[in-house]
Amino acid sequence: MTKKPIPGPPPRWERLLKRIFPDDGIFTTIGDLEEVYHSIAEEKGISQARLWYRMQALKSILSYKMNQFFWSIFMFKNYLLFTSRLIKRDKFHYFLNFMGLATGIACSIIIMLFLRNELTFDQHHEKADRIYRVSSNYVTSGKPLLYAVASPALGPRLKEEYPEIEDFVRIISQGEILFKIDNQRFYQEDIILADPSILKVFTYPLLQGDIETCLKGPDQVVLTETLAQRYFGNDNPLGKTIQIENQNDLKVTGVIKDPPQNSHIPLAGIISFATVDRNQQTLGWPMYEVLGYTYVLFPENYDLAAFYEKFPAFYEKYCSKHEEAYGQVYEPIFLKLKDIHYNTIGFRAEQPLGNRSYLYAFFFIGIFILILACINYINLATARASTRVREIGMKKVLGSQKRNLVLQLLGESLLVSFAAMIFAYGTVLLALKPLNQRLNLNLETGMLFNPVLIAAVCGLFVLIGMASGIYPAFYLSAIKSVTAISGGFRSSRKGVRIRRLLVAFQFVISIGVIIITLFMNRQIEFMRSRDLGFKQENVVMIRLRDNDVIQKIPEFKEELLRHPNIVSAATGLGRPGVPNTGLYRFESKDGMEEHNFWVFWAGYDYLQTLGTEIVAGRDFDPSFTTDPQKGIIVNETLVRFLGWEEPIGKRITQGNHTDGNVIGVVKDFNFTSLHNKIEPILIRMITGPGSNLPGASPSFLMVRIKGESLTDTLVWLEERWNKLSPNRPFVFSFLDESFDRLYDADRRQNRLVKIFSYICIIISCLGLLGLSSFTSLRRTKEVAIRKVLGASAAQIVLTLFREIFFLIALALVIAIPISMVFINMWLGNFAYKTGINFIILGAAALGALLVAFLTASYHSTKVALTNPAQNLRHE
Amino acid sequence: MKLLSRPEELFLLAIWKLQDNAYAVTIRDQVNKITGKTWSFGATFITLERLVKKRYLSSYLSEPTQKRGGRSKRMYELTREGIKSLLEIKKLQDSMWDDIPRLSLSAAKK
Repeated sequence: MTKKPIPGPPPRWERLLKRIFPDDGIFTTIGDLEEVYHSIAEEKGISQARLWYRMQALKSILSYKMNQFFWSIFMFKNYLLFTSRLIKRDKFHYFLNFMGLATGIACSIIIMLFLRNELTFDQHHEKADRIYRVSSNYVTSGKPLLYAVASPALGPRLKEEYPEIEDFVRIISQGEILFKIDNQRFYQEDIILADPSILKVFTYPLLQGDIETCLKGPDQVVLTETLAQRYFGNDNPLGKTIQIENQNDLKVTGVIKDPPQNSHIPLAGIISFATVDRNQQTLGWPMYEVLGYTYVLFPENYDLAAFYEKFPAFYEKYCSKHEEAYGQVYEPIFLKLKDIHYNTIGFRAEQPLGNRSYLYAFFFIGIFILILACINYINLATARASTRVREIGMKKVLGSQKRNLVLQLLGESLLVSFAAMIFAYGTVLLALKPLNQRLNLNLETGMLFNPVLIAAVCGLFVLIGMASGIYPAFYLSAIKSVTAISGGFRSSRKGVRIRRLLVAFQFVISIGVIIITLFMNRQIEFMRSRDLGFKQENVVMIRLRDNDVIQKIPEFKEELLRHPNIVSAATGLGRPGVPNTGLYRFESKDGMEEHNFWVFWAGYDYLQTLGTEIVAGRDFDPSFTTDPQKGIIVNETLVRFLGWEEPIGKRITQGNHTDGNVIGVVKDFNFTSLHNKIEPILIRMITGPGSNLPGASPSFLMVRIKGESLTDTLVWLEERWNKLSPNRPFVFSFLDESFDRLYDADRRQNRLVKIFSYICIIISCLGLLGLSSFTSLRRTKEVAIRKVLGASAAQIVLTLFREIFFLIALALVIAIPISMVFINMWLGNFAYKTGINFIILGAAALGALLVAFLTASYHSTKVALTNPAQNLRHE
Repeated sequence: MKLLSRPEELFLLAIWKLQDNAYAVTIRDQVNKITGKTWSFGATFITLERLVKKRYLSSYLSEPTQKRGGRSKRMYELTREGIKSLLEIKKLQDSMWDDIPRLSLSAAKK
């Protein structure tokens, strides 16, 4: 017999067999198969043998798998049956559990959405890693003076001198701009002016228009999709005309996709930079004159050190010659695009920024809520142990292994948390819109279907299911079957203690949060009601833009003052509550001192309209013709700061253009938010249009109106205004409102913590409800005996409550100091604050006890009112 | 005393016969030969497993051989109990047969 080598059995099948039947790696059975395979191959040929081998493998694998599947289905069905019976028997507690978890998960989904939104600020730009904002540092006598903005000449010059810089973009955030479309005039927000390169450096996909030309010339504008749709409906927006500021007719040359909300440049439309810089005259500006933000695009992996190495030559060429005139050394500062939104450098003229501590607060809130929800599950599940021991014991007797029991119990908690997750997802989907409005968030519903988020939520669900299931699972499965069956099992002392501690912990968090909320409310109320040193109420602010209107203001003012309900009126410059600063030299014992103080620019009657008092000297007075150039009013704090004994007549200078004297001292007033102490301020006169000095023209007109008949006066005012300035809509704000806006962030925090505290209370009460129902159940017999012996229902309720009372008291003792620490930290942000108030602490303590009592009494009254015969007759 | 089933008896006998060379393949061949039917591997293994569980058989691993792709064989041998129960069932059958000729002869005479 000639022996030729026979190829082995089909390798794929062999591998499959090996994987499915590991057989400790010895594979005797597979060896048997192979041997037979060889003999078949010798007798009937290889193809026959292979066929046989395959059939064998298939048969064995199939029957094995079928078997396995059948049994697992059987067991799974069994488990589901158990769980569904448990739920039916104990609807109330499963419902509590479910609601607690669903609330917790819903909160954390929202928080995840929020965090995702915040952490991806400006990351939708494809080149975000390489885009830097160039800010300016003007070092004045060794002290840095940081501006977020830069000279409009900087971008082009940098590109000339640094060939490695790929491109630059200058952006001027204009805020509101007066639009006129089809004879309708209105202010449009979030319009910026920018170089054409904005479309290439940043990622703003152009839907219509030509990327090369659409922002190249003057008087061109690119709108977002939404805006184009709003203005022109379904017409083609390209080529349409928008008049801005009653001056330029802009042509719509492009439409971009709506950019995401989470960008530090809010954007509704882009006007070409050339519109304000027609002949590139800004190229001649020194590096010391700033206008708008400058962004540069560096190549991949650019080292900023290389930039600074070459910078001295640049400085020599463009800055040195102006250094003397401005008395400042210029230095560019680079900030990565992604870092802008959360920078804490404190630039002046900064875009609106985010606050990182806000994010941390949000994050911890999410974690806290989740912990509370998990604690509920753990508590209820272990408390339920007493009703389940028999089931567990029986299962153990019937041969269930500990591992299986643990898996089953874990599976149960996973099932509950899965249901809770689905429910929470649906709730969030529905609740997102109203929530966005209430909390001022910009969360998009579409983000809910983001695969990353879905993965994260699934992870969360597994985490919660495991975290809340693991303790009950091991606790229950560790019960000895003998004690379980014989009925000798009572929840062990240790288990009860852990449960109580967990509930106490929940109350520590809830009480702490309540206390913090109450104090926040108090502080915000305090700030709003505090005497600021001037009268904020009933002052209307009207914005001034056009020079021809400004020129007519003095006459307009006289006309206004003739109205019986108008007390006074004055012009001013800058946003109220957010003044400018300036570097001045002040007369002192040792010559002139230089300081950087807040500066207010004011017209006549400014202080009178604000309702402040002059404590020394006089107000600006038209009869003193030198006042606009030389007259300066200071506040008491400044006098104190400089140690002037006789402030009137003291000399104050700035650069070589201002040389004035103090003519009056105004009583201290809070001109910014109460976060800050009153600082030294100077008040100078607006010099009027046509002057070259700073503070040339006013930006608003303030009108103080008598409190009564406010609306009538406003209507009259609008009429007058429309006559004075027919080309601008009458847009006004109240001074107290704009001051109130300074506390927006605080109020937002407060509202957030308030919502958080509601949720905490709800979840903790669910926990308490569950706990109290079990303690009362456990003590039914005791209660019945007490009743038989003559106790009244009220006494019994109190007896049952005593246990919970101690828990709450413990929680109070822990929560109060912790929340005090937090409150003190938060109050540290304010220069003027309310003290710690013991009435509030007492109220919080009482409130917590009351809520706990009401929650607990639901069950204890039920137990206390049942007929004792019912509970006793079983024995 | 437990009686062996017919397949069990067949298997035990086959293994006894095969002596040192009793493993799944040879056992199955032997049984196939005797019964003239094809026993599946599944049936072979199940029967062998049951016999091991009843302690009529014991098994050990042989040295790996080239022929089986370098894998060991699971060899089976009879235990003392296995032998005892085989002998017992033989005795039982013999005693059963002993009575039959007379009866059948007398029946045939009629």
